Amino acid sequence: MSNYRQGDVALFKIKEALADTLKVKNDCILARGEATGATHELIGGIVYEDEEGNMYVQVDEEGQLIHNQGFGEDNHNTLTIEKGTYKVNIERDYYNRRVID
Amino acid sequence: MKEIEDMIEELYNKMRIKKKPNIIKAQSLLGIYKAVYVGRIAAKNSPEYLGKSLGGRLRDVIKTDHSQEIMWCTCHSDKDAERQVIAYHAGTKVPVANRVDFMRGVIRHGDGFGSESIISQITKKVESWMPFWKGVFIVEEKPLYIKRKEGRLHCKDGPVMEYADGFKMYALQDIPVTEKMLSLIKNKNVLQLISIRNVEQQRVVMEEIGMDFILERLNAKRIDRSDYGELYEVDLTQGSTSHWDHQRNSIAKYVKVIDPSSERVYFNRVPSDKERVIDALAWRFNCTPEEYVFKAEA
Repeated sequence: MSNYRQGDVALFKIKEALADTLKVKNDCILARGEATGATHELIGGIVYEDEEGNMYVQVDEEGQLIHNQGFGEDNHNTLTIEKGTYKVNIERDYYNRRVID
Repeated sequence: MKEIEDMIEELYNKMRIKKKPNIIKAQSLLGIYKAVYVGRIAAKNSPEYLGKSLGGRLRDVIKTDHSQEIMWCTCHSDKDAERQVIAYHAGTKVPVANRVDFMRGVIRHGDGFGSESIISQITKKVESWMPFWKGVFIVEEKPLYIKRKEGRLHCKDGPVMEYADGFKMYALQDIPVTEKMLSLIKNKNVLQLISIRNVEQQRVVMEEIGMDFILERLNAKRIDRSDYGELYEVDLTQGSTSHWDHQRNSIAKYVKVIDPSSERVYFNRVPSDKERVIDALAWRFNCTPEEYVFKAEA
């Protein structure tokens, strides 16, 4: 299984081709921390999103998932992402809300 | 502050900038960085776009490095052409960023960065400053004090910063918290602690109290343990004499996990029907337990 997790962001590899209706996201930020300002950012790939805000990642060669620490110390190592298509799942809390950190 | 405003205007005049500076007065590094969240910004003639920026784009891109006492940011012009702007913390040397128009302007048309220069005088009187586009200039007031521990903003029994007008900020390990959260440490109110929504704020408060103490005080019962973490059952009505509390489904479940990169400990609530750690974690990531297998985690 070629899934990856960096903090509250998980990439799950999918076999299906992405729908044509998806739009390319303006930036490659997958999640952003509220208390820290930290971001999880994809380098070397394209991030798509659908109308509901669900994100998908396309990595054609090799990509990286980096953690930009906005404030305070860095707390997640960089992950190397292998070629493939992924669905992005953000961790949720008990009340089914997106986790904030 | 009037004196500083006059100096900024004088600097702009020297630099032949026709537009009158829009001076944004701010309090606290955290305030500039996270204006919407905890800080306080007083804007004087601030253009609408900057107001939006402080709530969104600008907030997203400023980075700070307290170990070097230098604050820097990357921001976008109206045309989205990326530029770098560097803000300098008072007391540090003033490096010059070649690509920053403002810095060029100070050198070419202003009076430079010498000890008697206007920019140097401004630097001495404020905590930090940042030039932006369209004549926008942010100055951060000097706080009365800043409390740090091992280089990070940290104080568990009071503000980390306070300003002359009484505005205070609270933080633990560089994570901004509220005064009420600090009171949980003092009162050791673990039931309220585990209901803090922001997981980073909850973590730093938990670390002050201690996980062992929290589990003991909660009378938490461990029901599963694996390489991923531990699953606990907690009776949320403990100590309550309310009939209503006892009528509700009061047994909650929490999963305790250790971040593989930082080794920080998190204690997160999950639905009560989860019986295994893997079920709980898979639920939090909206996948099946079978899918919750990672090639790499950080």
